[in-house]
Amino acid sequence: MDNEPGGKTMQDITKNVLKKELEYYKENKKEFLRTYKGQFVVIKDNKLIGSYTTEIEAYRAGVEEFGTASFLIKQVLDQEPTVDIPALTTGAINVNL
Amino acid sequence: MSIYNNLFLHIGPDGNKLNPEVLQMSGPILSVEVSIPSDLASALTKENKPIPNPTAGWALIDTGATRSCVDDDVIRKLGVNPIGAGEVHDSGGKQSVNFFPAHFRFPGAPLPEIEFTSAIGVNINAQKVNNQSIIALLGRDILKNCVFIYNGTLGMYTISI
Repeated sequence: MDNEPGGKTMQDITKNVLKKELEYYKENKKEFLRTYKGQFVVIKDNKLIGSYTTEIEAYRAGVEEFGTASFLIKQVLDQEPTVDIPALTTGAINVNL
Repeated sequence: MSIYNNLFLHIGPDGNKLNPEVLQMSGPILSVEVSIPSDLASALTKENKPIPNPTAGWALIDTGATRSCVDDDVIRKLGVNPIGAGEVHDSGGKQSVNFFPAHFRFPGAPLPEIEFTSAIGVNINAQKVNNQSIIALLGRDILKNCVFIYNGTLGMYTISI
């Protein structure tokens, strides 16, 4: 078994690329819930670009509008869904066969 | 529906034999190429920018993962920006992560290519099998459309998508 150091921590990889967009979403979430609940909204800087039924529609609209630049897609939900990835920190996958 | 049987062999003086320990040590892995999503490739073409080459590595089938993941370094080096952010629960608690669009291809396996709008960006490429990095986790968002049989006794798995 070949154990290597993990290098970067998970905290290191969450850079503030979408900080402005996420703050805008947070500030306006109540209003979005009234109008767009369950839909996927596209946000760029402090502006709502549009709402879409599916995430792929939202992504295509974002790429069409902004090309390779960053933008936020967010599904408008009361509670943020939880994601479990238990294997991430077990470190059990380093092997030489 | 495509079916892929992956047999984990021990290479010894008596030839190649199925070996449960090889599968036990590596986990249910398969070769993967991670590339930019096709919509982004079209956007790059429109902007007369080069399309980056895919990155090759292993994908680990992870029944414990709610959603599929891609290595953060790998996807960033392809020039892909995150389209979202959130938190994941791992065995160490809560971690902040970004979500990325990505495209997975499985060379050598007759499985369809997969386009993700938001795979979870995680730091996994320090995890290696035969000195090649694990760069993707196939989680239950993919497995919900699959039949996956882990045959630990024989040392093989079957996946059909």
